[in-house]
Amino acid sequence: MTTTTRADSALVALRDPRSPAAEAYRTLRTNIQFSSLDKPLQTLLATSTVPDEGKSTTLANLAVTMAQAEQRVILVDCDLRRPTIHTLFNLPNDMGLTSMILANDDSMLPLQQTGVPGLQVLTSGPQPPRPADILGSRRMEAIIERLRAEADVVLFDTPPVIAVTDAAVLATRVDGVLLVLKANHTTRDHARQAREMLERGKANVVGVVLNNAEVEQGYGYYG
Amino acid sequence: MIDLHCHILHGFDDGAHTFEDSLAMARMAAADGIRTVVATPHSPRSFACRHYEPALIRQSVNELNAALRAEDMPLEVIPGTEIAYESGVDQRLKQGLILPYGDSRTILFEPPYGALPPTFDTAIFTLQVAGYRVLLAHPERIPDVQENPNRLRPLVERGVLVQITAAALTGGQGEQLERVSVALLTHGMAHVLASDAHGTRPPRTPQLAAARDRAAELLDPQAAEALVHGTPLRLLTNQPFVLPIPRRIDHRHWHR
Repeated sequence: MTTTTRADSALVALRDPRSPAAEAYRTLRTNIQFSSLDKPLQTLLATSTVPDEGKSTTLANLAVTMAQAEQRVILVDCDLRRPTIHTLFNLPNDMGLTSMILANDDSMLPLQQTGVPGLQVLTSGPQPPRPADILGSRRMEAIIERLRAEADVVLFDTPPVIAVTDAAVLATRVDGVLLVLKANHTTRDHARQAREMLERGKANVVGVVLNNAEVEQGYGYYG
Repeated sequence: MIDLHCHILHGFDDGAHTFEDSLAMARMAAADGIRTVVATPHSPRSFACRHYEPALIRQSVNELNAALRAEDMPLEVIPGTEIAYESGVDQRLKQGLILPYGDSRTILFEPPYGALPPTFDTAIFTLQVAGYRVLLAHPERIPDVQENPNRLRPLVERGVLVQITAAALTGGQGEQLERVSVALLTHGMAHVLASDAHGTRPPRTPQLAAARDRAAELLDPQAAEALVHGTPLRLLTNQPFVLPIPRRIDHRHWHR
């Protein structure tokens, strides 16, 4: 166990690696790996349709699970409206992505260690009044390339795609997009609308994660 | 307790007039249980500024500390500034023309008192990206905030800390300021209580205990202590902390 996670942490992949939930994240990792065999997905973005679908928690757990498989992972908080990655990992957020975008200095790379070997986090940094301008900037494009060179996998957390354009702007600049939905919460119309918005921008939607689903038989003994 | 906003130095602004005034303010603060006072003279942009020069401010702080030590007074003064909103503040800070709080990366930022211009939010972001933590001075006085205290919510969500004035919370500055201060405090939009004292005369005396006790009634003793000690200390020593998410103030209830 690391010192950066508390007992009440939302990072179940770290807190309780033998739980069914942690197993589900391992399955997700495997599915992503095999979803594109010829061209590996090195940069992956997660978004949702509306707030509170568990997008950030899902992505953070996926990041932990990938690092546990000995991949070098960078998790980037591009949700400049409600950044949460730094709280999930209990990290300061005085410097981060926005500091990097606005810096005059190209050598700046404020990555933070997490206590999970192989997993580094780029927190959001100070929050700008108009996030879409910043995420759509040329600097952002250069930063994605820079991060690619530093890791096997780069994961981007973004705001919900229906509410604001931030995710759609970034979606075309990454290899794949994960859409996170919440059972008994996300409406069919919203899900469809989100997929259409992403595909209109020629984003590569590689999968949909359904959170909070009730499992019919429940967990228990096999056979 | 730590007072992060006090015009205790004489000769720089509309605060203490003489060195004797400064000493009287220091004695009053120490008797109230304050152990650290940050001297925050107005920056040159402010109409209340008479003179501003970092080297002179430091020298004046040293002289005051020497006199306090001679009296065995358990109080230390640290240099700082109440920085009025204007463009290019980040540059002037970087060049050392304006002082942050002591050795820290925190600044006391004074908002304009008319309508908050749209460029205000951008100016704050620019300061944050330059690595500064912004503590907003007494927003309870801004008409825009009095009309709609939720105006501060996006700022607080973006990591801006809010200082409310002790005398405003205890009702010494009138019902309007008290009501706004209480609302901000009880909705997670106030993080520091400071005196903003300009002398020893009420309402804005260099004291914090009464306002801390009021905050303890409104919140709880631990949260009240954080307003006058825990949070100011973290700001002065550049320690990280996570701010609670501010809650929306009910609009219908506000415009009763």
